Amino acid sequence: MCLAIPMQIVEIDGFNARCTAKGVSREVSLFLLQGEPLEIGDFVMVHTGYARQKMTEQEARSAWALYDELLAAMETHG
Amino acid sequence: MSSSALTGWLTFRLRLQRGRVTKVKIVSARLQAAVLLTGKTPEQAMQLVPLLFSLCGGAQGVAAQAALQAAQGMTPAAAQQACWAGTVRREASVEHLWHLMLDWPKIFGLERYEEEYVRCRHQCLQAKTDSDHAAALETVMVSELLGMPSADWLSRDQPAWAAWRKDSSALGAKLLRRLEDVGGEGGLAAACLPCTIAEDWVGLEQKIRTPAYCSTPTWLGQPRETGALARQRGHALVAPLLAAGRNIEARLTARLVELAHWACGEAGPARDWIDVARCGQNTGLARVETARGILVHRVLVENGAIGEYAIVAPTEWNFHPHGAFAREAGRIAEPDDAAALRQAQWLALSLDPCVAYEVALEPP
Repeated sequence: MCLAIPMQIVEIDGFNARCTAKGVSREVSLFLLQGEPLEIGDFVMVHTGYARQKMTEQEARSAWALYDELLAAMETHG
Repeated sequence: MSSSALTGWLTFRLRLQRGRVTKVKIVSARLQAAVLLTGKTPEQAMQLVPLLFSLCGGAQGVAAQAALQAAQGMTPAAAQQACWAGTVRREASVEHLWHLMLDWPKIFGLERYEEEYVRCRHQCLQAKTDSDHAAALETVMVSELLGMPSADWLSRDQPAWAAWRKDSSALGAKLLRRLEDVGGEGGLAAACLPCTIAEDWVGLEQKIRTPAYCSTPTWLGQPRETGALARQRGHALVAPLLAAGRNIEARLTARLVELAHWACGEAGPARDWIDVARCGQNTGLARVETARGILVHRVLVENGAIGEYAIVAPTEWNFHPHGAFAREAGRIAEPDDAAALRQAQWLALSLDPCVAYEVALEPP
């Protein structure tokens, strides 16, 4: 399924941003979110290199709590 | 294990022999994330589902709400169903627009309509009413995709439509012209899913419980195609393309037809988009039509918590190991390998997987 990855913005340069999650850093396009006020420290849902939606820190934490369960299960079951 | 393992991807491995595809293998690294909702309360699940799914978060959220309510014995009011249908349709429209204004121009080396897309996406997603949504779509249909009012385009007879396709400078016509003479073997390689209601899926609910069915679904034992083409296969502009075996062009045309109808305010009844069924005590099922096709959620609620959760998503139908992509790619026969690879890439895009993918060649 098309799972979105919650990431935090650490740098912004025009419509390009550097975002991080779990120690992994990625270039992310912000072009879909033109017109939305985005700042360093904000959280976004990322899919195939595009930030699709802004989210709150609490929402990002909730999604990651679930993903952590999934990753742990994948490591346990190989 | 990293976040990239979560997002999933598809690889389509082709073996070619002088422009003819001799073998197709689909390698899928997609997770069945629905199982994670087991043990959560219905309220938690309804909050989480829209946060997990990126392209169809609205449809997934609606399906979760509807299935959870059905599991708890609630029937959606007409106003609720209409509201859900509006959410699903607005999301489907921006997915169709992304496909037509960004993905196809990119694969053809044409200019992408980024600014126009972003503007229309924002207007569609912010639309408070169906008429606002229709107006936002009609603006982009007239200015970019059709070059004329949607109602005029839909009412054209075959000769007038062919003339538009041949001469128009609108993006829709430009894309279709690039697909001229692509295909040729009549009929779809995999039959389409029929139009269904949620009740039709109740008989399959014991299969839907299993991860194997969710990752490789079938209807009457066969893989089927789902999506805009399945919904519009009988339309006067789509059916002749199918009959001529121009399936990629038919899929693209079906998306234009859907957008044109929505831009005319012809959205159809809410139950065409979303409906629910109960599968015995404590189990609910929701059927939702998304841009990429049918989405089914089945959920069992016991003692205030989710006992089982299963999702059957459109990409699993169209990219089933023996489904539409695999069978249609297996028919490709072009003058050379480069042309065959190009056609396979167009075919994959026409079926539009919801995750990153690549078409790769296997050594002969």
